[in-house]
Amino acid sequence: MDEQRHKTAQPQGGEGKAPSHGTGHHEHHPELSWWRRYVFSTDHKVIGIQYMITSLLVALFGFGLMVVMRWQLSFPGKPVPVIGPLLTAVFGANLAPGGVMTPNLYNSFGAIHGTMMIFMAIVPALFAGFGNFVVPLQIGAPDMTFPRLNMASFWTFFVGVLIMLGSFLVPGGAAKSGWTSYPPLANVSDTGMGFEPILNGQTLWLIGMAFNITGSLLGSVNIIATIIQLRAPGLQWMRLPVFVWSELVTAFLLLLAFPPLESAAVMQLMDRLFGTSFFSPDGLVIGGRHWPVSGGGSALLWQHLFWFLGHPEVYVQILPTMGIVGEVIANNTRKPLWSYKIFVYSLLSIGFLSMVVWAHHMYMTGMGQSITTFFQIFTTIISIPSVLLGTVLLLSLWGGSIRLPVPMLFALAWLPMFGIGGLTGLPLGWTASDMVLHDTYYVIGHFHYMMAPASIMGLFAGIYYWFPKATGRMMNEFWGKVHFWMTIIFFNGVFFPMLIQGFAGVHRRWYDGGAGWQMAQPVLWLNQVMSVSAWILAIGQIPFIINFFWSIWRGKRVTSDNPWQANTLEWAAPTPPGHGNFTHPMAVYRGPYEYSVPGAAHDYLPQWVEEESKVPEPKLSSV
Amino acid sequence: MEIEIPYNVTARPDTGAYNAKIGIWLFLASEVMLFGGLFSAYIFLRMGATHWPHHLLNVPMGLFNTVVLITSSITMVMAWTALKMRQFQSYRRWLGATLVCGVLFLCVKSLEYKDKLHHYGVILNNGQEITGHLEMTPEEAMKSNVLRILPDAEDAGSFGYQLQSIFGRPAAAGEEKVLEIPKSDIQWWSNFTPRYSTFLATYFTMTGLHGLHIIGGLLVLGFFWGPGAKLYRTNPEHLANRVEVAGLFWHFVDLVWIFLFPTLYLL
Amino acid sequence: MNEETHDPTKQIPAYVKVFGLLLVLAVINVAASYLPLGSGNLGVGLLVAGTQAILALGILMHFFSEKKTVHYLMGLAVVFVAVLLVLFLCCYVDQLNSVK
Repeated sequence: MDEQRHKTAQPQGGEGKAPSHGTGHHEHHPELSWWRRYVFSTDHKVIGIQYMITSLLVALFGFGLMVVMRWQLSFPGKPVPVIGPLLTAVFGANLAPGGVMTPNLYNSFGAIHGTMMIFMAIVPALFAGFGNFVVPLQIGAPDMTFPRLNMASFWTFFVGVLIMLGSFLVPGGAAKSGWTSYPPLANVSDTGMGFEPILNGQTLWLIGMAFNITGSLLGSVNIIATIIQLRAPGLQWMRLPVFVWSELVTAFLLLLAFPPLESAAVMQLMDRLFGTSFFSPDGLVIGGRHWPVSGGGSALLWQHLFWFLGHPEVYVQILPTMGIVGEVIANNTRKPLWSYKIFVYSLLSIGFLSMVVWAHHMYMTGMGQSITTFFQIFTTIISIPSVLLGTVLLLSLWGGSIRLPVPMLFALAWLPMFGIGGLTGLPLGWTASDMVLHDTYYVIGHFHYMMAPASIMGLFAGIYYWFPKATGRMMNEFWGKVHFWMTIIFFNGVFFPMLIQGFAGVHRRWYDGGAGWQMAQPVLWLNQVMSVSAWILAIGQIPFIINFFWSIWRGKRVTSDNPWQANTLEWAAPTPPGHGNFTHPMAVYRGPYEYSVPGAAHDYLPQWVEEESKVPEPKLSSV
Repeated sequence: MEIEIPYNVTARPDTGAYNAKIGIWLFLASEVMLFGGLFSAYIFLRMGATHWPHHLLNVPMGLFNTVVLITSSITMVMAWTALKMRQFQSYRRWLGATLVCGVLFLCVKSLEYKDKLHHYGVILNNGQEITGHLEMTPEEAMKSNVLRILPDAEDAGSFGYQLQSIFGRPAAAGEEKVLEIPKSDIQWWSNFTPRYSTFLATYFTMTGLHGLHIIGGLLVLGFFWGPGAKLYRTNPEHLANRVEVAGLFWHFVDLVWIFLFPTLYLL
Repeated sequence: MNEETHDPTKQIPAYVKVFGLLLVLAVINVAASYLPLGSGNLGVGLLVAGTQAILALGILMHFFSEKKTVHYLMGLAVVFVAVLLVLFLCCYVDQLNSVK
């Protein structure tokens, strides 16, 4: 930290208590080695940033895979320009002869794009990245409850990422059975001639996922325990910021929904390594040959166990963004959320309901009428709290004096993206319409609207919003706006045409983008629209990347600990917060969104200020 | 560098628990779901199975292991009680007993595994299944054109027979003869590995995962018996908390076995 | 804080009783599995195991004397594992073109 800036604690809260033991002031402690401070750190903020950087890099990689796949879909069979030779060099002439994507390589890219984007980019960034950085600050805690466990969960996750990336380099390439890894296909793929017994794509996928799941479980234990145990005095449940609520619900979803998938991964590993038949049915014939297993297993078992996680996972991705958007909107409309209670109860009901809707992914697997009806009803019911959430956020805009900094732009754009994603999901929740739309590009369009535009709008809103707290500098406003407009326009350019193609019946797994199919001809031109949009979208991220790194060292310094004039506790901490976070013990006196309280001197009334007259002059404290 | 986390040792008044206790219960909640996933697989496979073996596993051995684990649960809770009473020597003894029980469990379990891997099954071309023990070495069996196998006794599922079989091959009650089966009549033969049937796959996977939990538990308890016990000198309450948390995990592992035993051995 | 924090030895008689009960129930469970009850065996087996589990959880793991937070956490897990098992069962039973 800057030695020049003086070290007095900000006289917030009016309680002149001495800093409690152990908070802040890392210069009082023996200086940690570089490795312990930045790499094997137990500080929740460093871990949060590690999660964020790792997952943003993974997201970039996953996006890169898709950029290449979009070439194949628009110009099937043509050598990939620019990086074609690189593909051949890395994956060999078997998978990418002359820079052309083979079906196997396309499948690998697709499977790893899905897996890494969901499990290793969006979820770690939103849940673990923001969760680690923001949650302890927002509840006034010095760190997570289990700092060393926190470090362990990051490194477990990181090993999972390395395994998943490394799987591209083994003979035969990475997993090819989709991010869902449905057996029996996944049981038999990457086996036999030319494949190693363990170092093959699908087995490494399972091992990588096992690491990732273990890391997530440890992380969610930590987040929940932190929220339960370390809330500052006075921070009752109904005073928690909505982001903390959303993290709590998300953590419970991960905690309870992930283990069944882990057990399924163990069973698929048994199938692949020891030849058991958990997922291999009787009389399985592959390539004209009776597959040498005992049979008696059930491929549907995997689908159930997978979607038991897979569906809550969707909410794991969207709930934290709801929290982020809630924070940003309340802050920038300068008024309380339209209804904090409805927001929180909706989060909770989504959490519960999301555990009992999973089989709507499986309408086509021959489920009977009654059980289908059950899942249809609950799928429809879950749209009620979702709509309530969207409505609360939308109505919060009403009558607000809206500021439009970059995070607010992203938060506002989140609303229509969430709307499109949600509403296009309804027809997929009903069997009658799902029959037609299942496995078409419509499905791809629908879930990407949730996972890409909506989730990533939330992600960017969060990054621009909390960047000043993490670095003490603002991100550049102009380039932020450039980034925003490029992102929002071309996101829609990528995903909206998918909905149209899907209605035309274009199947989601066609490797040639539909070129070989008569029925797809009228909508084939949309492939180019989507591909060009994807490529421009990639270019549109360059301003963000440059802005991000440039602002870390060269951005405009913040002049106050609370640059957005926000009410939640993270803005009471020094900027950037030192080890131990706060310079004096926090206490909370009111709810998180007391903006524009009638009769108050300022238009915000922070949670940590005891009396309204003592709202601090905005200034900077130091660690 | 260590900053002090509140409620590390003392309970937070409104939740009534210290941090690690909340942490371990959360972890146990996820473990419930993990084994729940496996039990749901058991249900799915069993309902779909045309044939599900009954009393195939050695019930006396399973019962013995159940007793061992139940005992270890009691010694575990006694160890914690002793620590709470600040009786360090007594704590070491009870925890030592727990460790012995855990190791004993693993020994018996590995004997059972060994038994299963020496047990063979043959499926004839007409679909009939014959189970028994090879009367030749596995290497001979691989090469030979004829499989010499002593079929299991009629009452192989009975408690008495299984009890005797632990201490040696029971005297032939019936008139079992060594069968000589030409390989041409055989569709498939193998020892009882996980791939033999979905029942054995379930058995090995579930008990294997449970065994890993036992090993993990033993490592943790061993640590608190040995090097970790040093904490007693500086902060006995903290050590008691840690032992309580480790004990909760240990009890949970026992609890899983309480369900595994009937589902795999008895039903 | 728990009851037994004040005097942990008070619980010892309860532990001994639970020990005895668990052993007796284990033997009962084994014995019952040899009775020809048909599908009743399944019910008896799970009932006995369930009783054992409640005893171990409640007394040995001090669940009965914990505060609400722990009860809620475990309740959540039990609810969801029940959802998992029951819905899986329903999904299995209610299939089209069942191969039976």
